[in-house]
Amino acid sequence: MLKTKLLVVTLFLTTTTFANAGSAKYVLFFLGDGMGPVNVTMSRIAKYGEAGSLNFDKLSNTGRVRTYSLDAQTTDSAPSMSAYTTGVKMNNDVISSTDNTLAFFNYGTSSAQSYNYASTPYTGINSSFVVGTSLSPTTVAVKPESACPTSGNGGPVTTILELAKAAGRSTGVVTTTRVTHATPAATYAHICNRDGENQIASQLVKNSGDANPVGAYNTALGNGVDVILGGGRRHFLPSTASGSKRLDTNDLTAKMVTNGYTYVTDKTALANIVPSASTKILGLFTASHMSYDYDRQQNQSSTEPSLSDMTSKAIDVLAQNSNGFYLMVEGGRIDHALHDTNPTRAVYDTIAFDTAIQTALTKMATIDPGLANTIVVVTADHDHTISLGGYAMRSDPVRNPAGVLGVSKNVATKRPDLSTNDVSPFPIINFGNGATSGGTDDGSTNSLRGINRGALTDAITSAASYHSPVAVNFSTGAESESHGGGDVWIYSTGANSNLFKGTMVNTEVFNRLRTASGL
Amino acid sequence: MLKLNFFLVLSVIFSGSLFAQSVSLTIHYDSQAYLSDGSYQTTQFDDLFVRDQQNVWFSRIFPPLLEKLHNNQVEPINKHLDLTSSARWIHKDNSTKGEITLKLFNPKDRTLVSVPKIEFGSVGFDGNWDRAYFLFPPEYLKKMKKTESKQDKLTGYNLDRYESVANNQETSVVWNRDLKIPEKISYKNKNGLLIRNISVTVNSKDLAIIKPWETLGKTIQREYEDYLD
Repeated sequence: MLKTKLLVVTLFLTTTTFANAGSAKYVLFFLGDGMGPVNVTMSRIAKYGEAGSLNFDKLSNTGRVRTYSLDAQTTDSAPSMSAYTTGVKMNNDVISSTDNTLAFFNYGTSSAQSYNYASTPYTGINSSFVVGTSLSPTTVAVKPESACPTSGNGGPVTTILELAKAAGRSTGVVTTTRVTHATPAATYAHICNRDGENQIASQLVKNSGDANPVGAYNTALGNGVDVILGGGRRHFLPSTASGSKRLDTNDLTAKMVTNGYTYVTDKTALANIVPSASTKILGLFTASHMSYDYDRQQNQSSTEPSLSDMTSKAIDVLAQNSNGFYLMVEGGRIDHALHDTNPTRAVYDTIAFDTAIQTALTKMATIDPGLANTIVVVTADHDHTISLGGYAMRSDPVRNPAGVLGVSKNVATKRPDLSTNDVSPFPIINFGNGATSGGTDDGSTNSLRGINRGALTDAITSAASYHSPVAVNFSTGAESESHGGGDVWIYSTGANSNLFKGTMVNTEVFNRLRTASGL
Repeated sequence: MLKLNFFLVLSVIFSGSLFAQSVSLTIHYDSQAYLSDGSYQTTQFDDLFVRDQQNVWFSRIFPPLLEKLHNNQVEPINKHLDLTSSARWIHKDNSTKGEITLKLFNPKDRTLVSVPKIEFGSVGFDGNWDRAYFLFPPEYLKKMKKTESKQDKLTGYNLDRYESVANNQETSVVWNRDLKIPEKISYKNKNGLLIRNISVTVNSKDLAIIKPWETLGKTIQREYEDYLD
């Protein structure tokens, strides 16, 4: 009898779970690249004060994600995003491939740009970073051409975007980096090394003409990713075009137009797209990465759309499909600003990311009232080494307008605290490691080789050109600030969003997203 | 017309801030700090500095022991920028409204990295051509008090000493009026716990200088963005 009751209860729970699962036909996955917990706190304080909230702070569920990769304690964006998109842990630098895939160097041979490094001894090989057999032993090239072997080195694993395509849903990828960069690539491409961006681009384009087998079209994309917006024209334009990084003369933008895409390169053209007339969009707004949002705002003549503009248009286009959609939106340059230990630009890009999320929430509330069929997930792929230090007084529009971006001020005296040598104000924001801007100063100098900076002030530390001090000065080999190995937050709202509570390994996010969306 | 151009050239020459003699210098940096834990910290290092009318070059001079260590750490291609080992080559294109470009040259892997203007600060350049070209912006001298003028008996150079106090910091500059370069810059915080000295030694000048940017040979062209993962 007890056994029967247990069975009934189990069946009930299972039925209940499945009744909820699969109801989210609209999937919106927001990825703040490098947007670790301290960066979130810093941005929140900078925009809304200590007691305020970012838009994604207000989402109904919160959890933590463990981000380590298969071979590294601290991940790079390739395996961490791939964990989210495939549910598989892989080696650093690998994009959406099986766990036995090694990240071969991307430096294919090129007679135009090669050099002899036989005279510079190579002292070691990381097991996950193997020199490709196709390489000449004496030459390397700078073109981002894949050197991945075509066999014997793992293989592709299905991404959630591909599952969405197979289910008849529309798909979109929006980013502020090159659309071929690691995070967006992990949704639609499979390659042993993230640096092979020419082939990553080719995998997006049916009949691209790429002679490199690694660049064969990803047939799992069916008739193609429906909306692709971001930077990175240099990987789509023929080698004859100025600034192109391709080795071949294929014009992938022209091929995409042939494939039925509307191709746009500025914000006006993007705004003018009528969703009912264009179900497939390729928007490449810059040759490489798009501008930091701070600089986009400063440049009155900028033709780049904001992340919010791109997100809004993507939803308008994708929502026309009654089967639903999968949309990945990346705030990609948060990470770059943090690598540069540049807090102001990191804050601006985080706020731009947060604004895009609010734009999506508002729009989806109209399309799907109550978000009954919508799951929205916001997370980061990894942390950075940033910290907020000192017992700084709270930000205040009048008494402390620089707030978290300023120097630390004493709560009692309201005057700047002084650092170790008892003479110099110190900034609230610091990094665990990184470059010292080329000097031997405290890392915050903006002058060449640290000739002179003078005492820190709020005006200096809150300027966009400012770079924070670092504790460990990288001298060789890894000059920019590194990623952090700490956990990151995950926020969610909408249908089945309660699945994203607690602490989870990053691969588990994929499983929970599948359950939530029925993919 | 000829007359006009002649006076234009003269005005450029005597305006004092556009061009100066081509020089090759060794810049010696020396900082001393008394810390609150009772310790006394000194830091010293040298840079090579070379300039002509349109180019400025900074590269670190490594002591032989460190140079050997660096060479043993070579990878086939660095995945990340190696700022310390990289020279900074700043170029001013006078035909394009003075557009300034910055490239980093790493002699270990022979990469020449183009740095977009927006990232100048990330690699330690504030975009101020005068600060790079003159090592101390001449317009700053105008805000300082000239306290002494003399001729160096040994070199014959005309030297002016300037001083200022601002932001709890005393600054003094010994300015070489002939080469338009500081012979020495000293910074001292008011309580004397932090002192930084920058002094230069002239290696060569005018036609005798070796311009590193003209002897790079075969290089790998890369872009700053290539290093952002």
